[in-house]
Formats: sequence, structure tokens, C-alpha cells
Amino acid sequence: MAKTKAGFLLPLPWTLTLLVIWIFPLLWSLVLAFADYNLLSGELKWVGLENFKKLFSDPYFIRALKNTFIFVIGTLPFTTLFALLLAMALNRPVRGKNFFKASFFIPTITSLVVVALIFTQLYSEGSWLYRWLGQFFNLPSGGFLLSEKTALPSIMIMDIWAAIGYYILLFLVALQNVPQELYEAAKVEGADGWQTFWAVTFPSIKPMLFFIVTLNTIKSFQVFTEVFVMTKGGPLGSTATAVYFIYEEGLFRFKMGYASAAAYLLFGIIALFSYFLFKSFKSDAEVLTPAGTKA
Amino acid sequence: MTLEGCKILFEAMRKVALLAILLIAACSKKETGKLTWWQFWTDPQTRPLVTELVAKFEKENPGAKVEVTDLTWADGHEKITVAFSAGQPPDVLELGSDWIYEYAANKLLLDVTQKAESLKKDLAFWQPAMLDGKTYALPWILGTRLMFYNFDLLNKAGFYDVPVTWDQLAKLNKELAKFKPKIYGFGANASERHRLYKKFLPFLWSAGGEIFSEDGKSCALNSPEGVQALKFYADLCQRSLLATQANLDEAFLQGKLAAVISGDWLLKKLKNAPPKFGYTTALMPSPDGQLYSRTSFAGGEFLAVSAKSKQKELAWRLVQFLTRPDNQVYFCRNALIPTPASVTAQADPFFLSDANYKTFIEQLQLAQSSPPHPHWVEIEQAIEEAVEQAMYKKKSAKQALDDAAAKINALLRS
Repeated sequence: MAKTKAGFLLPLPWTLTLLVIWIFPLLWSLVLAFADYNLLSGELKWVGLENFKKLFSDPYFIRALKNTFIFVIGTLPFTTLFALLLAMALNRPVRGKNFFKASFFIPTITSLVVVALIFTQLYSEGSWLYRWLGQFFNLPSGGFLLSEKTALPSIMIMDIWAAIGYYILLFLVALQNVPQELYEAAKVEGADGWQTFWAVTFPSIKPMLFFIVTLNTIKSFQVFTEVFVMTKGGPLGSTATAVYFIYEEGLFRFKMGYASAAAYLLFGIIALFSYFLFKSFKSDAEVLTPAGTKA
Repeated sequence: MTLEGCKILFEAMRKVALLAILLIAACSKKETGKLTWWQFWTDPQTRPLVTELVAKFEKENPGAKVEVTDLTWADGHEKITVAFSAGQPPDVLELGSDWIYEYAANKLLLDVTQKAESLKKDLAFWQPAMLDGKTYALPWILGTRLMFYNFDLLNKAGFYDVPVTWDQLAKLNKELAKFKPKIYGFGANASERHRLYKKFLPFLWSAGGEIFSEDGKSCALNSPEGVQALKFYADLCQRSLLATQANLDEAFLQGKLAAVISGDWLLKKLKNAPPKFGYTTALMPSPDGQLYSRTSFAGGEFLAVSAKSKQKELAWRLVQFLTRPDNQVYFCRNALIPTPASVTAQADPFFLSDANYKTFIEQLQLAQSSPPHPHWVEIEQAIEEAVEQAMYKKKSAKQALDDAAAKINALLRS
């Protein structure tokens, strides 16, 4: 009995924090999603599904969703593909391997705010990159982030660069766990490089691939920091993403109910996507252990 | 129990009781003098002045103790709102002029109408502090935007005086576009939320346009004057350097930009590190160049007492102290800010002896602020959207303003 008590008591500080600053706000915002809540006067008025109805006819929200989808579709495949290719390159004996590993990983451990500030400089009118590419493509003045056409793609390219290190590391772990015997067997069978990849490497790293794609999907749907630091949603709203929309409605206009509704809608979308990803990977993933061998 | 034991027990009880009394005394000790003040002056040149003023206040009011908390413009508004929402606001607040309305409308600020009566003569610019005829804050340090010109570049474009009319400004922009390496005539803000409208409104007002109709019941943005203003502004932007305010200021300091609309912060930089080129400030240009039409945007920092403060008297004394002419002169002189709210302070020889400071005060007298309105954040968004759409040539000036007016009219009806 005393032991059980201690068992409840010891994690109490953590549990309390979890309840107070995590679970409670989470549930409270679910309540708010169905209400009109004025933060300043404290007035709370029930509006039922009105907030959600309004979201679907709000051109700013639709635009934010569209931008978010462009962001996810435009970064996810590239981040995954480049990370896999670079991981495979690093998985063989290369000179200065650790140097490359470290340099790929540095952007990931750097604060995203810092990365975003550096890229804001790089993308600005005065930078060598803009002078060089801007002249080549005859871009208007102002830099990449001030043109409606180039702002979102510029943020996406930065994001791929910044995120890739982490996924390289994950892929490397998976690649190093592929049993050497399988490669030897493939060699004996006379398989060429391409065949070896599809028959041995790919099935073995599939669980990790699933993990990476899911993680990256969720993270990409929640893109905010880059937008907040670099463009504040502009120009012409071309970089306003879903989470940025939530921020503006909630913390700038203080429409807490409306922002909560948008947040839960986004949560639903992410959950739906994760579910489909899970389904599409599951049939194979089930029979594979993370080590990559058939169970 | 032995006598010895009783003695020890008694002694222990006495000690506990004493401790309890001490504790109670400590808790109920009337903290008459403790005030909390949230303020925004954080740069290393200005922050020590806040400390000095507070020390002076504490000396003048024996027993008073002011606890200063620094906020930044990036998240100050959020923090203040959350503090009000949690019922724990500070006693005294420094507020941006466009925030007063929402806090006052929710009855969070102390009504100081009567107290402020005697100060109305000395302090200028009360409009943002008023709601339904009542006063909720005191104007403290004001700010306005005006034109900064680089004389060397003006000469290069064949100008020997600063542009006064819109046509002259457009001509300057056109003349300088020819040069290589690239220099620019005019610098325009690109898609910076909550900044863009402050840049467009002077043009609107100068042309004789208004946001609302006279009775305040409909939107007047798409009047012929409004369309003229946006058309001119959007055309001007085509050849201009488009950048954020920080980058525009930087381009001006580097001598790559002949004209930029900026505020006292740029003048401070120019004074702290004089550039190689000659510079001057000037009133905003207008279509006809007449003095009355050279309007600009004004805002500023106001001081308010929270309605929930337990120290209303003392808080009011601090607010009064800070807005006193002598303290304003001291603060503004050392912070290199030319626009104190006190008229007496504005007339201080320090400001009158400097041509650029004088221009600031003159511009301030011709300036307006955005009209207080419960739906202002949405109205601001509609205006900025119209300006952006015209700047990026998505819509004609007329179309953009018609759409914005339709949106604002819908808000006014709701």
C-alpha cells in the first residue's frame, strides 16, 4: 500500500503540471470552440456550431488551409527523398563522413528562429542570392519574401534545408540495421544496385519511412515559426498558414472561440491524414519489425 | 511535568506566538506605497531614463515604491490583455494609442475625466484616449511620420529643394530610377501588417479622403479622393524600393534611398551616427502642396491607470508626474524624441533650436490618428488588403477600395 502511494506521489509534480498547463487548456479550448469568448470582459456566449460554419465560409481560413496544403505537399516528398538519398550516401564508407553528418545536422539543432532570420537576410533585396537569381529571372525589386509568387516557395526551400538533418539521422539508423546477410544474398543472386534497393533496402526501412512521413506530415501541417518570423503571412496573404491564422485570430484579435474552432478543425485534418498514412503503410509494416527482418 | 519542562514548553509557545504575530503583522502591513508599472522603453539609451524618473518620483513621494516591468512591442499587447483577463493588471500602464479603446470599452481603465480636466490645456492629442466623452488615459510621448530626404540624391535628380507636391515626389522617383548601380527615389513598405495602413492613410487624408462618412455610419474609402490617393500611392510604389520598414531605414542610412517616410527612431539613428550625405526632414507632400493638406499619421504612448488598481491615488500621481512638462522635457531630450505630448515641453528651446525637431512638432500638429472603432482590427485589415492589391496590381485602385468599402460597410452594420 505504501508503495502504491509513493507510486502516485512521486510523479505528482509532473502530473499536476500536465493537468494544469496541458490537459486543462486542451479541454477548455474544446469548450471555447463552441462559444464566443471575449477575453477582456470574460463574457462567454454559446454559439453551437456557428464558429465552424463561419470557418468554412471565411476566405482567409480557406486561403490559410490552401497554403498549408501547398506547404505540406511541396516539402514532404522532397525532405523525405533528399534525406533518404543523403543517408544512403553516408551509409557507405565515405571520407570525412562524420564531418558531413555533423554539417547536415547543424541546421536541425539550430533554433528555427535563428535559421529564419538568417534566411530573411539571404532572401532580401541586397543579398548575393537575390542579385544573382533576381537578375537571371528578372524578378521585381524587394527580395524573395516580398513577392507573392516567390514568398511561400522560398520558405518551403528553407524548411527542407532545415528539417533534413533530423530525417537523415533517422534513415541512417534504419539503414545501419539492415542485416548485412541480406545484401550478401542479393549479391549472390546477381541483383544489381537498383534491384537490391527495392528488394532489400526499401522493405527493411519501410517502418522507419512510415515514422518519418507521419512525423513530417504532422510537423508540416503545423508550420508557424517560419511564417511568423519571416513574412507575417504576407504578401497578399500568400504565406498565411493554418496555425498562423489561428494565432492572428486568437492572440491578435482575441477571438478565442473562433481560433479554438480553427485549431480543432486543423487537429481533425491532421488526425485524418495520419489515419490514412497509417492505413496505407500498415499492411506491410505489420509483418516487419523495426530492425527490418521478417518476423 | 516538572517545572523545568513547563518552562521549556512555555518558552516554545511564546516563541511560536511571537512568530505568528510577526507573520500577521507582515501580511497586514499596509503596503500603501507599492505600485506596479508596465512600460515599453527598453533600448539601452532610454531605459536608464525610466529608472531615473522613477527614483525622482519615489523621492517626491516618500514611502512610494514603483516596480517597473519592461514589455516589448512584439508581445506587450498580448501580455496586457492576458493580465486584464486574469484580473491581475498592473496599477499603471503605458499603452499604444490604438489599444486604449478596447480596454476602455471593457471598463478596464480608470475613468480620469475629472482628474484630467486641469491637464487638458497642456497635453495635446486626446482623441485616442476618449470614449463616449470620457477620458481614460493621458497622452505622454507622441510620434508622427514624416519625410526624410537625402540631399545628395535630390541634387542628383536635379532637385534643389524638397518635393512639396505629389507630382514632384513622383518625378523624383522617376529621375532616380535611371541610375546604376541602383538607387531609389522612394521607399515603400511592402506587406507589413499593422504598418502598411499607417503609410497609406496620410495619402488618403492629404487628398481629402476619409475612412468613414461624416455621420460615421458608412465607409467613405472609395470616394473619388480615396481612389485618387490609392492610385497615386500604388503607381509610386511601382518604381520604389519595396521593403520592410527596418530595411527601408537601413537603405536610407546607406545613402541608397532619396526619400522615405519614417519616424523619430530614424532621426535618432542619424543623430547618433551622422551619415556622409546631407539629410533633412520635411512635411508630407500633398496633391497641391498647401500646408493644411500635408497631413500625416500620428500615434503615441499614453498612460492609464487600471480600474482594478488598489492604489488609484498614488497611480494617478505617477501618471501626472510622468506627463509633467519638466519630466517630459528631461525624458525626450535625453531619448532624442522630438514629440512630447506637453505643449509646454514642445516649446522648450532644445526642440525649437533644431530644424528637424521643429518639423516633427509642426507635422504633429497637422497629423491625425486612426478613428477609434470597436471593429478597428478588421477595418485595418480591409484597408491594408486594398492597398496591397493595388500595389501588386491585382485590382485597380477603384476596385480594391470598392471591395474594402463593401467589407467595412458590412462590419458597420453588424
